[in-house]
Amino acid sequence: MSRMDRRSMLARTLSTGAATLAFAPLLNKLSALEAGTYKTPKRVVFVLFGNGFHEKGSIPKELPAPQLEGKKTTTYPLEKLTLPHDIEPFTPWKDRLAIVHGLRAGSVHPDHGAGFGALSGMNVGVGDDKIRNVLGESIDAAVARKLGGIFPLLNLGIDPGQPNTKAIRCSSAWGAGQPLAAQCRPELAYESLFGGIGATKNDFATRKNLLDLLNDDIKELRSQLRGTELVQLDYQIEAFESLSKRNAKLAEMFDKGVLAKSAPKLPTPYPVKFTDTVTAQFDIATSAIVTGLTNVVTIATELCTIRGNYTGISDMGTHGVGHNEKDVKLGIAGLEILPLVRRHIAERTAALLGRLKEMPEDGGTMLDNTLVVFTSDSANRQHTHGENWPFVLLGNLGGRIKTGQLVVYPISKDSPTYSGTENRHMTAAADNPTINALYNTILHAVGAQRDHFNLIGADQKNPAMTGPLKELLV
Amino acid sequence: MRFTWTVLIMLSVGLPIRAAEPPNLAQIGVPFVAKYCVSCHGEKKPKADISLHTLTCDLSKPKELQVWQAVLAQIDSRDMPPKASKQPTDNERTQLLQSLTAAIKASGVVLDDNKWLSPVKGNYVDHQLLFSGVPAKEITGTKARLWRITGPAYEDYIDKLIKRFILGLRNYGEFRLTAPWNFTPQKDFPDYASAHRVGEAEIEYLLRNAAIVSQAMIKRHSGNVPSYGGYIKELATLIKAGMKATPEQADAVLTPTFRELFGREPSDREKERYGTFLRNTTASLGGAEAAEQLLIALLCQTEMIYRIEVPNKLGTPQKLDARSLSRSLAFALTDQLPDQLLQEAVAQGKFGTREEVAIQVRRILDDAKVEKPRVLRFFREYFGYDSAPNVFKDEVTLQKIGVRGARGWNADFYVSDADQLVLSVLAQDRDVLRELLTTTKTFAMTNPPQDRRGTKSDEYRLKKPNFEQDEQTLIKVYELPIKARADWDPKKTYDFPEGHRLGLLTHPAWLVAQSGNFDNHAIHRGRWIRERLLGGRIPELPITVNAMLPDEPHHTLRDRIKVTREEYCWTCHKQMDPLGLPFEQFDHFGQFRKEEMVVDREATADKKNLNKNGLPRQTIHKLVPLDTTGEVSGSIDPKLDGPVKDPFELIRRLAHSEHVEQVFVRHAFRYFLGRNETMADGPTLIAAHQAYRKNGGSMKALITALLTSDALLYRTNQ
Repeated sequence: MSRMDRRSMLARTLSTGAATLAFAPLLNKLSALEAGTYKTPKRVVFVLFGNGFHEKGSIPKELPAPQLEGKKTTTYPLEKLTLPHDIEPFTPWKDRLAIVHGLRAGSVHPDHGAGFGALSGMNVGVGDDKIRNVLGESIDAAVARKLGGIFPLLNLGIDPGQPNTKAIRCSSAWGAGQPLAAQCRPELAYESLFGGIGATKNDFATRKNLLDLLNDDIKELRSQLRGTELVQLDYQIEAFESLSKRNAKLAEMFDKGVLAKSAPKLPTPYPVKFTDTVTAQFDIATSAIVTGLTNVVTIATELCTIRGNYTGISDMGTHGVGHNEKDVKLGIAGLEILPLVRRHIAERTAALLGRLKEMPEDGGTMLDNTLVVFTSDSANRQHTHGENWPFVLLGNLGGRIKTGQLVVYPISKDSPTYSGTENRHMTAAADNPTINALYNTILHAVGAQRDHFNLIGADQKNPAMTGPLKELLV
Repeated sequence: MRFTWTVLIMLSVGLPIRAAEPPNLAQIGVPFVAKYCVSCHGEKKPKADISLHTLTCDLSKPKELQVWQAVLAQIDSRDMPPKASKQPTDNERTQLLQSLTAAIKASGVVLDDNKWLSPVKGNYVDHQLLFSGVPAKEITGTKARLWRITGPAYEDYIDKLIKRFILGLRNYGEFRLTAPWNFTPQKDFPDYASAHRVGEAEIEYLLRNAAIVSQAMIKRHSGNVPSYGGYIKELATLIKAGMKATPEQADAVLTPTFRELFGREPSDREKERYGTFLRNTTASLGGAEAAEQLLIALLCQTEMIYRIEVPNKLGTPQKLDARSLSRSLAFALTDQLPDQLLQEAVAQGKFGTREEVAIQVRRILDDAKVEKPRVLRFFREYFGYDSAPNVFKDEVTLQKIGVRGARGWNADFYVSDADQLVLSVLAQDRDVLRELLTTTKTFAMTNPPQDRRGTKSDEYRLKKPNFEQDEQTLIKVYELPIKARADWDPKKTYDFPEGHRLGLLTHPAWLVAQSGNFDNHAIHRGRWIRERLLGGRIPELPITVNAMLPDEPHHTLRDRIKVTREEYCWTCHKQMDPLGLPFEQFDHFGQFRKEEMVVDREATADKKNLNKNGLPRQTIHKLVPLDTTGEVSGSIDPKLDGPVKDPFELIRRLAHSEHVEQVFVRHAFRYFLGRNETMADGPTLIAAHQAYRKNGGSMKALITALLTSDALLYRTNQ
């Protein structure tokens, strides 16, 4: 591209309402163009919430659950269907929407949240072991490996009703024993991404020097350690080096004024309630994407387990909510509270999509090259056996995902979820694909094809299990 | 059990079982199975209904993968072949494990290479050999390591720094500068040297904490000289010089700042490295900024993260230098830096020999004014009762015991009462383990930690005439004769009703911690006893097993747990279930009971109980007879084996066992040394056990023996 072309493009981009935000990815793009390496970037956002994605909350109103029972995979166009309350905010994006039912949990135990199993599709044990055992790569990390970025994987979390939690490991990992921590406080995530709020000096540059100094310090101990102890130390050295490189890049962006322009405005005082914290974390994720700081984001609104309270909606414990206990203050039962929670998260997800739609990119918008994976870390209910794991996919990643449809893999049974309520859950056929197949579909969509994603044994060679899912991949 | 050098050597160096090129499973596995397994697991009447004669080593077949994983677990745990059968040689066993591990991994199953380093694997070192009295041939010590300091230790350091320099930081509640490494909940003994990694998240939070403290330090040193509190005048000079600061002023800062922060002089290397950094930063950013950056660097350097336990040179095991040793000792007991007296002993050269270390250990243990949170934490982590508040009990479940609403249940009380019980037994320091296992006393409603309970002190609660709902529940659960506030004293112990309780394993804190949301957890309870008291080994749950009991609330737990009697499951479950089922004496809230409540299906489904939609209005329960029998089997000490009629008979038998005492000593070793024991630690364990016994079951004597052993004093990087 000639210099004139780049200037023209810059002028055109800056003339839009989102000019300042578009500036940062544009800088990245210009450098890539000059290097001859430019490709339209793809982005994937994983939204994980707790307590299950009830069938009632994800099936269009005109298609009650029993009607979907069948022994064949069926697709329904969404065009004339009405989205249910929980995901109604996605209505403007119905043509970019795919709802999926009938995937199985496979070897994952998702009841009470699947922990590291939710995004890895691996058996990481039961009970609390699920948030301790890190046995392999998670799908967001696998996608991040392909898509790269200054922050290859931005991992944000919300500890419901617990504003003191700074970070926790819950969902994502580069591999066995290599978990990533989810940043649980918006103001701290902000600081990592954009620098101190209102900062006038380049903290990133000074931090880089500090990191290098500290790294030199600790490296001296290498010669005195052996085996596992040396591996432990090297893990830290690697972290120092990775942070140093990242801070060097951020320092450059800070000097160019990009970070200050694109940083979101955080509410003051900093959010405390669950709902406000969710909103702030989505705002941060959105800004990080449009600034070009990251291409892959995971937001775990309940940290892949059951804990805390949905403050801002209900002060009851999330566990009791999932058990359909009654909130005395609100006068409604838990299963009526959960749709409010899911809807709030859906609204923030829709806002993210709306923002991306405003961002011009290569003749279209950023939304055209984005995929949001919206699901629960607890499959379809709190005490689930993983009999059906509903997903909503938003966006088509540059036309790689078939959207505008509800896909239902063979569903054999419809049972009451809790006695005395109308909530019902469905059960996928025993030979249906598992969530691993969907994850491999996403890998194919971003151009990181694999034979399978974290399957074991014969499933690794069974096309029905490995994916990609032909109903979803173009 | 026969002594097997190969496996023991592997365990002694803490390495996973692996080889550069593992032998092929097809060549190793099938002959091994044919030679040692198919006589029982063959074509005709295979035991546990498992046939191995048709195995082909094709792990892409789900069934084959499942069976080979079971084989791995059994051979790995040495539970198979049975003791009475022909045994493979060490080489055969090792080769099978290597080839099988590689083949299973290749099939996509992740096996944790570091599992041997976790506390739960400590029991895999042969108990009888450990206590056989074979003298150590040479000093082995502990491998050179960086042992990350605990969260409380880090937080204590920062808090004291803030107070010493009167930095005016609100270090509480949401503003508290918490340790930057509590991002993963841990179980067993979480403070294991091998268990942690310091990654990007930890470093980022460490830097943030350091920046907050450093900025406050700069502020304090920027104004007039304060009349009280900590102050580093050289730092103030540098800060005030601003952009005119000279290299000499920068150089002057280093030594006094090291003294103030770490109580020591900087080493030559530190002088060079940090000196250069400080001079360069001063030249480019000025004195104030340079001072801030130096402080951040020092508050993030290695000593802030780790107990550095490395020998001074390569080669044979060497005694830790006095300063490192003093830090390791202080952190082991107090979660704090060495106190004044310990620092003085180091400075005077009186801390290095075993006896000198023992003097300091005894002093710390005997001095009531020195806080020793690590000792209580050992008992919390060993018994695991402190996790009771994490077990959620929903309102419907609470209603079944007559508790209305979640406010009627506060598990923190029970944990706090158990803590006080442990502390009171430790204060006596006589037959500590036996007393904890057999006491019939409890504290009642002692004040839980304030961060959970708010600020309701004992004084505040004593003034309230009526008991709160959660207090009423506790009185009911404990069955105490407390009718009114005037009857209650939080500092007093109460007797449980005779024959209803016996020690911590029947205390509601432990019972609730070892329960589920809706039921007792007999398997967990049995596993705890098998591993923590009997020193047994439970193989890992095969990945292909869906470990769930049937959802049949109309049956007792004892009935539902019968699914584990299938031979495939029973090999492992026979080690757990019969030990846990006697505790059916209590419900899952820890209440003593004589009958068990189950769902009455017929009454619930009766027309009278259905609403207009045909759904039950309520779940109706009925009482059924209680069975509290169980059995001890497969113990290393055969005197322990045999049926028991209830939990009390089981506990008494265990509490009077020398073998159980030895297993307890092994766990104390793991906790205080931060690693699993190896064969080389046998003499240390024997000495620690003897010290405990000779001193009448003294925990102080046990801890002193452990913290003056070679395992603490010596390090090797061979």
